[in-house]
Amino acid sequence: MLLRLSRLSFNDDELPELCAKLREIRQLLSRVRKFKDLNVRPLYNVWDQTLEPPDVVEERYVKLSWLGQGSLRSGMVRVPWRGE
Amino acid sequence: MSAEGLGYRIGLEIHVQLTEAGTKLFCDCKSNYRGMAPNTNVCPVCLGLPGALPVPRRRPLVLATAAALLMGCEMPTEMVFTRKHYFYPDMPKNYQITQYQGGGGAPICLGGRLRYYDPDLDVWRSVKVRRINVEEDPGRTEYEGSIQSSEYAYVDYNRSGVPLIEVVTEPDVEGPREARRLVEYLLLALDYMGATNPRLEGSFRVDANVSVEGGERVEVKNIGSTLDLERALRYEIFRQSKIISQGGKVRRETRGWDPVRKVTKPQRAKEYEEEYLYFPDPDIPTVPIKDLVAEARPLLLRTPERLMEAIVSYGVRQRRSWALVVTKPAAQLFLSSVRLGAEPRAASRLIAVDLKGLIKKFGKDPNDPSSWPGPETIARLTMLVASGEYTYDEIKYNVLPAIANDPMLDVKGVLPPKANNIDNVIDEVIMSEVKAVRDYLDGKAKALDYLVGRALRRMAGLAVDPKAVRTSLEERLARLTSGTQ
Amino acid sequence: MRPLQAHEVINEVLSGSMDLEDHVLQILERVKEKEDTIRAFIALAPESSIRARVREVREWLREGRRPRLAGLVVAVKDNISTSFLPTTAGSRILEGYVPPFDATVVRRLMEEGAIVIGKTNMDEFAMGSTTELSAYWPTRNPWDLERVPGGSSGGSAAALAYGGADLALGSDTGGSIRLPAAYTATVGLKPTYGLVSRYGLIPYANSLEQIGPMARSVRDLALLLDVISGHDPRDATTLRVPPTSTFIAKPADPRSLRVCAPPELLEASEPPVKAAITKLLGRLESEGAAVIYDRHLTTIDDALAVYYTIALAEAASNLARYDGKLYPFVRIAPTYTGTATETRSRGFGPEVKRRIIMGVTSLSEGYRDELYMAAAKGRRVIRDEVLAMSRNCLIAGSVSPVLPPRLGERITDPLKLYALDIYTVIANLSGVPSLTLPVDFYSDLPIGMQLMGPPLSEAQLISAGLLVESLTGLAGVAAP
Ligand SMILES: [Zn+2]
Repeated sequence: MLLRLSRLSFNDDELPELCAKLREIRQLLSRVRKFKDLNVRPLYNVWDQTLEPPDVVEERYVKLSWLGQGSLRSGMVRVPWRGE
Repeated sequence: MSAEGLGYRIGLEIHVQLTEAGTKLFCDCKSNYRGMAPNTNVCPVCLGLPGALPVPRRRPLVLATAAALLMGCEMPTEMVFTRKHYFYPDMPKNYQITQYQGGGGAPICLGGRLRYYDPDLDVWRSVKVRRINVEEDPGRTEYEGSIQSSEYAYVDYNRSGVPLIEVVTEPDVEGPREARRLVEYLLLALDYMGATNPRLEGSFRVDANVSVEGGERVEVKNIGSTLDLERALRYEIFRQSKIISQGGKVRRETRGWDPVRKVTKPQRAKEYEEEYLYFPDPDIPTVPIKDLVAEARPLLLRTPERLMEAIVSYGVRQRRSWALVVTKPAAQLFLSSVRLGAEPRAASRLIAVDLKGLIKKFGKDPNDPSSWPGPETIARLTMLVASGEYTYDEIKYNVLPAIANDPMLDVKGVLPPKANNIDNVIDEVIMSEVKAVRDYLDGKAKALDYLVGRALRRMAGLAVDPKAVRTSLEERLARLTSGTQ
Repeated sequence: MRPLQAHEVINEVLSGSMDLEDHVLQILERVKEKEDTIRAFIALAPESSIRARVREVREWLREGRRPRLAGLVVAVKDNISTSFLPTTAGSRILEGYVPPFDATVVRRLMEEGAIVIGKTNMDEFAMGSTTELSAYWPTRNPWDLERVPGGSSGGSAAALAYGGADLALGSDTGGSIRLPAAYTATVGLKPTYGLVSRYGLIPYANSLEQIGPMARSVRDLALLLDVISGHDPRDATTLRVPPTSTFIAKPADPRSLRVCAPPELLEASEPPVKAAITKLLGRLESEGAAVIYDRHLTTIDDALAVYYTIALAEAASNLARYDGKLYPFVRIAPTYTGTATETRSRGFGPEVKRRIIMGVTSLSEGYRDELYMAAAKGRRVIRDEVLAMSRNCLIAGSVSPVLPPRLGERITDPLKLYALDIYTVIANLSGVPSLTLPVDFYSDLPIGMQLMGPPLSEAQLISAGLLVESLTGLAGVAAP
């Protein structure tokens, strides 16, 4: 499931090592469980700052110059599809 | 209640583009991309290029706040933008920046109520609103042949990042017709607030959840017009009721509306539940709502409800006031002509019924202010009727077509002299059209039409009320019969 | 070796005693000589465009303008967008991508007359601490070719260390500027979160990372910081502050300097590292500074776990966009999902893939509360402790627990790799600035120290750094 959500695939011979390493990493990360029930507000933005939204910022138009002509068709971006 | 008599529940998710915001939600590209060549309304931000950062723009947020105020929403003190992840060709970043309750998020509205007018029954209804969130629209995709079989998806990101509000109702919409009226009202309100132009192609879409007693909930996605919404709901209630009454099971599924064949079709079921991996977007600090509310409040002075109240206060019936309000320039014209002294009831009929009908008949757009005459024209016409100089119908038949055709016309030039001598003309007609008179007296009712026509021709260029001519003719002919027998 | 420092070059260029073309060509020579072995750059600007740029800046000077970086050669980390050079973030998956825009920091460099010489090597998407995890090649440490230059801004540090640039830009998510600085005897700053615009920085972990200046001396670093810092309307997380003016800072008066040296930032370090820092702190004390050894940072034990949980969650999200549709690198399969999966499986390296999967895990329904959300709570606890301490004193400590590792020594085991960041992540978690500068060498291997201060205390850190430099005499040092 995680692989599908991540849109990643691995060869069978890569899987055991991957799993072993993920288990190790998960063990490290699991230390954060101790904060789970702590009565503090999660900190998402380090200064808890807020934003007064501007009207414009002068972001400029760009052309899809870095994409080869192969992935464009009459200006539209061509993406393999077949229903999924 | 459906044909089979089973109960049902309807809930709506209404996505409306804030086409009039000017900018996209997080960049300066245009909120209305119509008429632009593919991928020319794009910048690093709305293409999701790595390193480009979303900065919420003010106008879309003010408009969304106005929508929340319209629905009397419970609002958080700060708005939070959340990333919602799923892979799709039309999503440049493969996550959508939206709002979500939970996981540290906070949508702009956490419960409210939308009042809407039902013109069919001339009543006000309301529906509970579960939440509203502000989010970015994905790009627009074209397929070759069917969406299922197309080898490629062709994506135009001009739409990517356009501000959307998603209004989610509780499942207590009374029925398909009410659903349609509700959405129509919401769109009109957003139109009046200057948030959206609902007449633009693709400016809104509705997903409808329908469940019929004894079955599970079915979601019908991507309904693009209010008429289709009503049709799709009727169809779906009928379809589900039929299955259930025949002892079948309605399973939870997602269907799509086919506007051409007018049926809902199953969409391919996902093989697994998506995980959206929600978390607050670390690029966007929270946005305090207080200042936005202050800026949004003035926009609420112009809701359809307020406007209808104003019009009704002139003695116009509520349903007629709705007919004015649904066409923005018509409502404006009414109010300004009344201010110039127009008689309100005649003015409302003139504008909302007859002139609007003619404008449509001549293939003009009643939503375009230039299709309409100036308020002084309306004021003058109603005064002519009020003073008894002309009857309403004389104006309707002799003046309005010319004005609908050319709204800039001077009324004086169009106003024909009064035909004071109808009776003389009718006498002349009866005497010269002996055959038709005989036919009529022999019971050929159609002959009357002919006689009316002849009379009108004799009075060409004068202000004539065709109905009055007809009545007079009938009376004269009736006297004729009684006289001969 | 002591090449001229950047601020010395600028003085000579502006006074007319040095031609900036001579200066630039001299550095290009040095690059040609060293690049074969060090491999600090992924992409070098073509000599013709460098010459054109030199002519342009020279024209500015003739017009009487005095750009603050006129003719200075700057190396830019490859995760910072440049419209004139490919930008790959050290990954295959961005091969061939030339951004259609410049990062804000690059724009500011260009406006001040800098010559961007090339894009420097890095661990793929900045995920690594040694620059061995670049999809292209490992960069070597100019002080010892068998050792790593640290990471992930290893290319920038190595280029500075061998004299391949006057100044460099790096990015620091959990130590990525400071570890390489410490391993190469250069100076690096992780600025206060929000002081420098991230616009154009290819994101790894948005809430933690900052672009920062790197140089061979504290004065040079200040020069660069003043140019790149300050509010940017394109980055909503930048603070509403003007650019810094640290270049004019004076060395701190040791008698008014208070330094906390919490044992948690020192004790577990290898003996030579610990000894070098202790010795330096002792010298500061003898100059009159107050050094406090018994203040504790109790949350440091959990910092690494909190840091990696947040970083990987944000990373998994940021890396979702690379699916082959909007970037040149693609492995076509019949379906969209197939193409995305194939492209990502071939385009990302193994460590990046592991981090994505772990990040997805911590955000998933079943784990979000106990991983991502718990870490966000832990982050507040850690931040508050660091902020409280930083109000009383500058915080000194090791940068890395070890001397520069040998190539291959750390990358087989992810946990050993992550452990290199133990001392650096707390500055990122708590948003405070952290300056790293060399304090000594141990058998020809550089040892660095970091100084953290309260938010926006860059000027104070730079003053303290100038003082330390005056004690070590290591300002401007470069590898032979
Ligand atoms: Zn845009």
